[in-house]
Amino acid sequence: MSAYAGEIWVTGAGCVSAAGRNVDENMRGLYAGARPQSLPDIFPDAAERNPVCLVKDEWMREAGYPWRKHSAADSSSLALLAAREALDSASFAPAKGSRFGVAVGTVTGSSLYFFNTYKALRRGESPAAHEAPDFIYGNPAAVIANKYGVCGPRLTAANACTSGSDSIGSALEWLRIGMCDAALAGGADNLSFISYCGFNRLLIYSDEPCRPFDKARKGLNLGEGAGMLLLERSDKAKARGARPLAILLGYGAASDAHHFTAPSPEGRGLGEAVQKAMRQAGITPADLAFVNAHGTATLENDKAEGPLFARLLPGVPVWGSKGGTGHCLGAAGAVEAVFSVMALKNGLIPPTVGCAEPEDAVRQTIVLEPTPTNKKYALSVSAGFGGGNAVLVFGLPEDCAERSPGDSSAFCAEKEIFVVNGRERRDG
Amino acid sequence: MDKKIYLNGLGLVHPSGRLEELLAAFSGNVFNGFSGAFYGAGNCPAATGEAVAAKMRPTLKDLLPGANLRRVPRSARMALEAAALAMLDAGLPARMDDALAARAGIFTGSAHCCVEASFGFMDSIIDFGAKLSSPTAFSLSVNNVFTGMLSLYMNMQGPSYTSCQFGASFAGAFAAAAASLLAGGCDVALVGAVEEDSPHLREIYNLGFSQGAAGPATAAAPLDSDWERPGVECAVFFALGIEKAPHGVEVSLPVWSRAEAADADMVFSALPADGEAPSGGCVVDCRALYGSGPAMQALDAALAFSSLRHGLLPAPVWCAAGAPAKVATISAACECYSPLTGSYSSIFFRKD
Repeated sequence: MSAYAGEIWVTGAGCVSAAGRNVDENMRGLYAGARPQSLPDIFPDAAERNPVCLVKDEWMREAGYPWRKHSAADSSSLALLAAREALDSASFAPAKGSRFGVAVGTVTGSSLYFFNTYKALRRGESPAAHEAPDFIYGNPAAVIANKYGVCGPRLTAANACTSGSDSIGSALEWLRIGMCDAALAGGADNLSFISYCGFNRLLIYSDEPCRPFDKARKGLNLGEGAGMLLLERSDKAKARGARPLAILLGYGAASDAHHFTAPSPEGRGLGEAVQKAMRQAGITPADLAFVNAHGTATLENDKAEGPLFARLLPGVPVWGSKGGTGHCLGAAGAVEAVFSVMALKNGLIPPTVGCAEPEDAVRQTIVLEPTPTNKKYALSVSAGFGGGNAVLVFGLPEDCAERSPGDSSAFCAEKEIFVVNGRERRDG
Repeated sequence: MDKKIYLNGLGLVHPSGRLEELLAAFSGNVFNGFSGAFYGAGNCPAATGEAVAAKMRPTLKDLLPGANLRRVPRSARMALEAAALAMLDAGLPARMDDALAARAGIFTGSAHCCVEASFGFMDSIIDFGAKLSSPTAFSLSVNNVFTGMLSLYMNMQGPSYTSCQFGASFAGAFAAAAASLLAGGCDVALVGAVEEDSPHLREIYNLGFSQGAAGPATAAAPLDSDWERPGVECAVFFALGIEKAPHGVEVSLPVWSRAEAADADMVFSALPADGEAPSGGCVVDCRALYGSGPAMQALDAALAFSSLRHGLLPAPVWCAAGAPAKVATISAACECYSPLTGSYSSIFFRKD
């Protein structure tokens, strides 16, 4: 194994979330300001009827993957769908037995995910036939690695809400130190009853569509989905005639060591992660087209993030996407990494859906309408339970330097319908 | 790349006690010298966890004064104890000062993470309904609970990872740690495995295997009757660094196929009986010592490191192709085949 000092290219991307079944649908939904929140009808035992952002059942049925089994199979199905799109978009087929890495961040997909079976056993009833085997055989990184028959490093990272970003960061490090030549990296999480119930119990769940960075925000909405990037060494990618969507230039990870569930109020770990990632990428705030914020719309998260961005990244446009996808937990960082790559490539920053009256700290920088940019670099930021923080830096390839800012009319023709609490409205 | 990685310290908490007790059993007669401490799959008394907690409690309090341990779950306390011991063994503090904190990362492998809290949260929903379920149990059921608590109580402010992939969990954590050290993400890394058992979890496994014919293609992986199931509670942590401690051994990057595995004097392996024999000289199979649970590779690594460090000749050795056991070993490999994830991994240590 020898280290590789060249660039690590993003040559493929795949994404599924409530905003769409592929990358293109997701980006169109984000640019249009779509609000895909619906009621949690998939959880008949839920105590609350608060909004959730769900992947449509017909998308998964059409794709041919097991779905809504309320088991680890659901997360793996999302991961497989995004992985397939990432590989197809890069025209890449991993060779069986090759040193191809797989890193998947998840929360639900690696948890003790067999609630209905456990409940049945406790009550002396017959358990479902699939939950326990799905738990035992459904580990997301393993499912992908085994699907393609690859023999490289594999990691199912359960780092709470930084899982997706950390998986991409770890895969970047694998490629740099020569542990593998290419990797699928991202995250996948389906919405489970346990997560829905738990976040409601923590009293950080909004009873209305979430409002990241808005003064009147009331908390998060959970979502589900998967994001996958195909990462390749540039020499190997060039040799097969591939072109990069973007270059993965930096990764910073740092821990708050402050509190198990609450972020450091001054964003200590997040600030360290931002600075580490930017140092590694060799860029300054003036180079940035935008920062894709974690932006959960909880009181504590946005209160820590906003001032930190104002201090460390003055003037840099801030954009949060969870109003359009919900908080996809272990997949969030990966889904947002895909969004960041595509927004950079399109030269058009999507709006922060749900934010109407911004917090003072981001009043001048929050992106509220699709906004063209011709800058070449972007940050994608994640933070999570346990005090972890992870930041990725993406850049455009050199030959994109002269490209024009994106044209919003190409993406923003549609105004999407959203439904919440039984009412149908049009956003905007 | 000029950087190398060194394994500089080890901390272990196990039903038999700490490393010393495990080593005594390891270097003596494994079957006679380890009475009452072997908890194989399906053979783990409910009191195991309490026994572990009782053994570590005084030292943990000494190591981490001021930490409010009352709300720390039992398995997280095991993790804290083992992690602190590993740092002390490497000549580092158990609680980082600010200069070291930002350079210190944590990489934990755990197949099931905090089992007690996870079942506790499910129990609270079943018993009291969703509206009155326990938010504390939910917080502690998040899979990175061990890593988060280590970061919090040991003031480690670098990268933090939890690898959660059954028997390949430790290998995943090790890969992330090695990559972070070599790529500059941290200079010191705690990497380890933490496993907690429960009768409920074993019941789910028994059910899952009995229903397994309906499982996906990976079910084709070979399975012993007790392979990779929960059974042994333990916490094992290693202090890795880019600088070598006097007793440190060099660590190679993990490999992911048998074809890439280097020959070693001693190979810790517990491949299925019909599996291909590992390359190299002597094979050390410790299943009789601590079963074949998901932390097996980490426990193997603990004994491999100790063997190299102390010149021990392990008792449970058989030698492939009649090769004699070497008394003076300078290299050891720990390989793991995880049927549940269909993955192979091997970690290689070398003494100067």
